[in-house]
Amino acid sequence: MSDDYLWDGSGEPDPEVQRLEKLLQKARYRPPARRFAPPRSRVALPIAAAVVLLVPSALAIYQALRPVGSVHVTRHREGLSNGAAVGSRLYEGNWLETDSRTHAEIAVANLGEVKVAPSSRVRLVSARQSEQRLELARGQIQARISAPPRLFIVDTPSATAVDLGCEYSLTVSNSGAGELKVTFGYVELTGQGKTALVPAGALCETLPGRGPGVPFAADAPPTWREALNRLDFEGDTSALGVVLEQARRSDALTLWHLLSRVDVAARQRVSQRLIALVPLPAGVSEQDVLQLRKSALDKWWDAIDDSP
Amino acid sequence: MPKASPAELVVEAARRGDRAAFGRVFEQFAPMVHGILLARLPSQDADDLLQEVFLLALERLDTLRSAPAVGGWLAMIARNRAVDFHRTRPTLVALPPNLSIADPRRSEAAEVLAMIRTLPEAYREPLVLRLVEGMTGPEIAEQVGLTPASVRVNLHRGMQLLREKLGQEEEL
Repeated sequence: MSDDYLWDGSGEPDPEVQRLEKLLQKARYRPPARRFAPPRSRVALPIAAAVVLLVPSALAIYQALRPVGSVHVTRHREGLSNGAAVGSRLYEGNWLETDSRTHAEIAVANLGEVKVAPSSRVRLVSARQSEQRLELARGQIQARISAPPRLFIVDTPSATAVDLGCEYSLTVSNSGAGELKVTFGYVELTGQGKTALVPAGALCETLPGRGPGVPFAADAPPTWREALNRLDFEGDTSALGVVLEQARRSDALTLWHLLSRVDVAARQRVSQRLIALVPLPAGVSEQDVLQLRKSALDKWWDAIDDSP
Repeated sequence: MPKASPAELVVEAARRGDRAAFGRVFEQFAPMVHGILLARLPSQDADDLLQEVFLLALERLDTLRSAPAVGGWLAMIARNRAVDFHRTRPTLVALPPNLSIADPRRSEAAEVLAMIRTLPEAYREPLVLRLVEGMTGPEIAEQVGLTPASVRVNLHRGMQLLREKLGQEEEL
């Protein structure tokens, strides 16, 4: 038998190679879930219930067995902060709290640094090779991270920010609402079953119990932002008209996110407006988009991302 | 002067400090690096070391000779990291891969992978990249930086040896 099938999958299939391919594919590299998150399925609720039941015991085991990771507090400016002195280590579970005059800076492994603004409260959740994770309870951080995607994560009361290779600032108010502003690269925000991919030059707001809103260009006009806010967080569908009519080319990222947030009837209106701003790429039909097919949405995102 | 491919442009951008570009390098080469680690280490360890390899690569980007060589360069870092991992980790007694009976197909997969890891080194990588990561021979050659002819020969001979081992297993 020729080895063409083994070489490039052409020619007569080799049954033994096919069997091994099928058997071994479960060990294949699986990229972390990215971009578009399909709606939750009906199994989500039972799974969530199981998680609620299992988490306390899992946490207890984790607390007993956890490896102690740490990050360095490298610099303070003006006064002292509660939690750690300059040069000290912040261990997993430790809080760093800055007062109204204090700035702090944390070196995160060899990935980059996090500047902590005054009146902020930050906890080191984990510091491992495979995950560096902080919690921002309130205040503001500015992160500058040079790492493979998804290695640096920040939890907030209303969403989780996953670094995809970037620089950004993240602000959390006393009510737990947040605002992410990306200045370089991309950040993914997740929470309450929603996902937002926020590129450089965009902002995204989050609310407790509501998760991340749709991201928008930092230079979007205030009236348009206000309409988007009413649509996104207050469910005021009458604001959709303003959002679509006044959308600019740089607002395409917002309309792309809206596709999966609005109901079926509104989806076609969003799709039509988005097509006018950024044509569908080759091989993608509007029907695929309306059915929220992941591959179609990803290709359109790439077109939005690549075009000027 | 030949025109740079899109992949080379991305690597060049990553070398200039564009972290988003480095993210795209990660996405493009992660399956290949994972396969190289998996050819030497158990699945869990390979998953853990994957991020480490890219962290090392990020630190050493300035040592990369040229953008087209990035695949071979990443492969070399992965091989070295796997060797270091073997050297530095405590001596452990491996449990038999079929200890768990919860999923017989999973344990069979682990057995076959363990069998591949006993083959000569030159055959392990192409076999794992082809059978586990689903890459074709030409893709393996391009990403790892080897000639298609040598990858084809190694795939062929490796598969021959694996068939023999699988046959012996069945006879037992």
